[in-house]
Amino acid sequence: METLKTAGLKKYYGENKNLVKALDGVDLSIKQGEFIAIVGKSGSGKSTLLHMLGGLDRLTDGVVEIDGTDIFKLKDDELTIFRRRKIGFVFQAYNLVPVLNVYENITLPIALDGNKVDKAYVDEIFKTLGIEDKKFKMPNQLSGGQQQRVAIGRALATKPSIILADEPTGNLDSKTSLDVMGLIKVSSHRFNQTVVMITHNEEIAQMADRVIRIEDGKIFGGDICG
Amino acid sequence: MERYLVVIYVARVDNKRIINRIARASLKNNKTRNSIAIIAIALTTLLLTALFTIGFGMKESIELQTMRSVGTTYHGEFKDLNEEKYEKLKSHPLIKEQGYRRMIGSVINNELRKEHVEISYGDENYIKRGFAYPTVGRLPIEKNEIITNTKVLDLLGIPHKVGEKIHLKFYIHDTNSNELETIEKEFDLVGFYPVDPLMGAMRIFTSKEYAESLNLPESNINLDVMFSNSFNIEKKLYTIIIETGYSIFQQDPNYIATGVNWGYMAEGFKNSDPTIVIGGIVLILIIILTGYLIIYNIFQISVLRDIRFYGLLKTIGTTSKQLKKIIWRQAQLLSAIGIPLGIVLGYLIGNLLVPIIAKEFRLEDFISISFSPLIFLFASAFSLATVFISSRKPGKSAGKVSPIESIRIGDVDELKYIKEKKNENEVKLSKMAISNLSRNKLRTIIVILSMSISLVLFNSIYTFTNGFNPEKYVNRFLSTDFNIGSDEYFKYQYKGHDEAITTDIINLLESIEGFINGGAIYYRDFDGIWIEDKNILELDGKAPLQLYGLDDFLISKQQVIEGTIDMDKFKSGDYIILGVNDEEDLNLENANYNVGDKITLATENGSRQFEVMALITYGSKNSARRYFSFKLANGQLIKAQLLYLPSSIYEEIIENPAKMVYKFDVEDEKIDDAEKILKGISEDPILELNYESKQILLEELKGMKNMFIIVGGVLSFIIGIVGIINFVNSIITSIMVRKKEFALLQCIGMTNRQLNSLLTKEGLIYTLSTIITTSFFTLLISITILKSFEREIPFFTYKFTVFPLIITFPIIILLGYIVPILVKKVLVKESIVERIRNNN
Repeated sequence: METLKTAGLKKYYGENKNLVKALDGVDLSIKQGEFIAIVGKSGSGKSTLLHMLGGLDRLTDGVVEIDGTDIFKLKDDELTIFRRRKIGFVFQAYNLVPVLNVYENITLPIALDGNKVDKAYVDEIFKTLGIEDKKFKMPNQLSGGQQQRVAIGRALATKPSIILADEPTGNLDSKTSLDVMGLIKVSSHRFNQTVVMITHNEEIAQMADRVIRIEDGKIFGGDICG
Repeated sequence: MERYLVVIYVARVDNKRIINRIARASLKNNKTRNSIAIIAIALTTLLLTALFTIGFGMKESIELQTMRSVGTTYHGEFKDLNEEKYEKLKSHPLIKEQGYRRMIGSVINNELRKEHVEISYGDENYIKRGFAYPTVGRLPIEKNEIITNTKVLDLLGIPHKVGEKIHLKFYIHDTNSNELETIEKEFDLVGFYPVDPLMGAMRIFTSKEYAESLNLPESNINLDVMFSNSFNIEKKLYTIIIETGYSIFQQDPNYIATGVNWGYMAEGFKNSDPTIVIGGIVLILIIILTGYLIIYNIFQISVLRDIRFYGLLKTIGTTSKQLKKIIWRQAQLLSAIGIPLGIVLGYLIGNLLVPIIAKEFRLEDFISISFSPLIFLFASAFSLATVFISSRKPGKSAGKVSPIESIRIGDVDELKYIKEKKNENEVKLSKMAISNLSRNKLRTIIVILSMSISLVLFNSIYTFTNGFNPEKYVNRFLSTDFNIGSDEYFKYQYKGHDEAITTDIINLLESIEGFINGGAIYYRDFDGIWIEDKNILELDGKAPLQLYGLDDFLISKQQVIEGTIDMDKFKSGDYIILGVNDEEDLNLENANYNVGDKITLATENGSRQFEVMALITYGSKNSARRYFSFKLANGQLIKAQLLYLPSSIYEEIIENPAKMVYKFDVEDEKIDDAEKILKGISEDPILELNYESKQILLEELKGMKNMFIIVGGVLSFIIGIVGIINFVNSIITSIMVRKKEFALLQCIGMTNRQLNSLLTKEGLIYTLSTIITTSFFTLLISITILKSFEREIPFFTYKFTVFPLIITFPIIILLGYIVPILVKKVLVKESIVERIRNNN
């Protein structure tokens, strides 16, 4: 079953002489439960691709379908609501709201949706990520690795269709990076989550089920299984 | 190592130009910030300039006014000198400038009876500093030459023309005002100058030759002096007297009397109301604090926003000191625009206000629109100091940046939570809003306070103007519609029969159409009566008093402080009323008796005992306006007691009683007619009467209310603007630093609507807190300070009101609702991706 599908995805910046083709016709198909790594050099368009998949920016051309919904047909606020229900984000840094504690951060998307928190499920997330004792800590009281775990927890909290991770280990030392990667992998399996992760680190990329290479806004070398 | 040092050395040589260039380049990249910073600097300067302009302008106007009523700009005066004393004193080195005046006496031409006109000789210096230098003509030289002002000429019916003949009748008096000789003589007018309405006494100056030709008493020379500055004038006068070998003590035979020109505030400062001084300092501090908050925020934010830029500069070898200099240089460049702008605007505003204030203090003829460079100097210095302190910490922050940190820092308001937050419930937007406001508690509190201050002030000023009650003020001086008495009485020279009101006049007044009721106050000086008081041995047990008789109509008009006036008992002849001075405060010290005490009056026909029935206030409305006291040999001062009897009893005791004044009320619609009749009476040269009218006094006070409204309104407005700017700036700051956080929130599913709702809640918390704080302090100040004004300010009646708050609160709430959304709309234009990428 396809969770995510793109067709002819194009994102151009600027005009005429200064035209930059950040994405130039990307076709992707990602199945439920897959763990995908997108690798590319800086400027290759990998971040743009991730932003497009998450509906954070408008396309120049093409289609992005998540769970059968063409997300760019939605209005801004509809898209946001769609995002909080169907997509979880993990960024390189600055993932947490500084005035909320760990528990509040993790449950924030649920609260924004106006839903009751499934306590058992959240507790399981805490346990899986090994941050049960950090529940009431404030973000500034956590290490970088701990903060990323919380971010992963938040991405999982709404049971989204897909988790988009933008260099989630970019700011971490290599040992912590491996820990965090392990957690992403374990929890995605545990909760049967689809994960699309961007990285420029080949070693990290190798932990994914599948690696997609991108260069000059085009998918390059396509479906190489890890 | 050596090479490193060399590099630094080389860098230093070109240091200034590079720093300038970087600062300028950085300015070009921050156009919005620059505008806000310039506005903030200009506003700070504007407020300071306006404050200083008003302050200086008022000080100079008041000084000049006081000096004009004193009649000279000399610092001080040695009085009643003989030639020998004069010669000795005048050469003292402390004296920088001096003027000589020789008193002759008082002019008593009938046309001048309503004025006090002095005749004297003054040298050129004295006349120049005495606002009496002829604008037409010249100084008197020949024996028969005089100069005077235009009012004296008008009263005498003489045209304003040099060469006119003036017939004067005057008497020569000694230093105790005893008349020595009366002289009539015709003079030539050789010069005149415009009348100064503020001057107490009119003056006619003769030539030196004429003064010397008269048989003048020995000690009638006054020596007026200027010192190098106006500080400690009195002390300087004393120093001269003592160093010249004379005494400053009245009982000594070689005593020399002195006078200080109280027009000089440096001298009067110690007596001046400290609240004005403290109020001024507090205002300056509020302005500086406000300026600081705004400018600091602007720089701090821009430094943190450009942190990568500074990190880069540091990486390539810019020192912390140089980074600080770059920030300071930017601040200087912005000040170079902001400060002059503020000075021009502040000066204009200040000078628009000075005349309005001056008019109400009746200074309009003497407004000195102060061009003092000190104003600009002070305002610029204070503003620049504000900018300097404001940019210091941002400069330090820029200096501290390490290239690696600069990439990591995400949040401008670095949060340092120490405690855990034990919450396991879903986040609510309102709670999040509260958490957001407590990120920078100090800033939040200052914003709330600064908005509250302006509202509290606004309400207080409104309460004050609303309670403005000129009737109350006028009633202190005049309890009836009209008060008529002799010219002498209004010149504080009423003594007795010669200046009394006749029955004919009273009959005339009582026949005025619309006359309601009236009564006389009976009084004469030295009526041969005293209080028997064995405690006062020095005066043979005779305590001094001033005894008044009151007609029934006036008895009921007295302001009772203690006891009650029972008309029937009072008129029985066994009771008496004691007056207590209320000119400054209800000072009971000068009353030697209390209600229930017995007072025995010794009269020529034996003693008569009375019981004190009540204490009333005395002042110009119910006294001869002259109060007696006796100085005992030991220096103790015995004040005469003011006692009041019903006129019927007064007449029994006092032989040949005299009616000092007659006071009466008239029906409202007939007041204007009555006014005309009284004016006619007062202008009749034979009657020699004058009058006071409540209506005229009230008219004069009306303008004062407008002054309070304008000045108070402007003040509230300025502080209100400051409060709102603080609020807007704080919102701008809080949104600017959270641009990225908003992007994150939007990524994880916060809709625009939810974000707006969060920001609106933050704004509303600000304004609701402001409303609560304002209400609390308004109530507190209203029922404490404002209420206490009722006793202290003679024209104020306390009326509780929160009307201005009811009007302004909805506006404040609206601001809290709109400003955050508006600011977000203007400032957060970048897409989510742009914001996420930035620094990521």
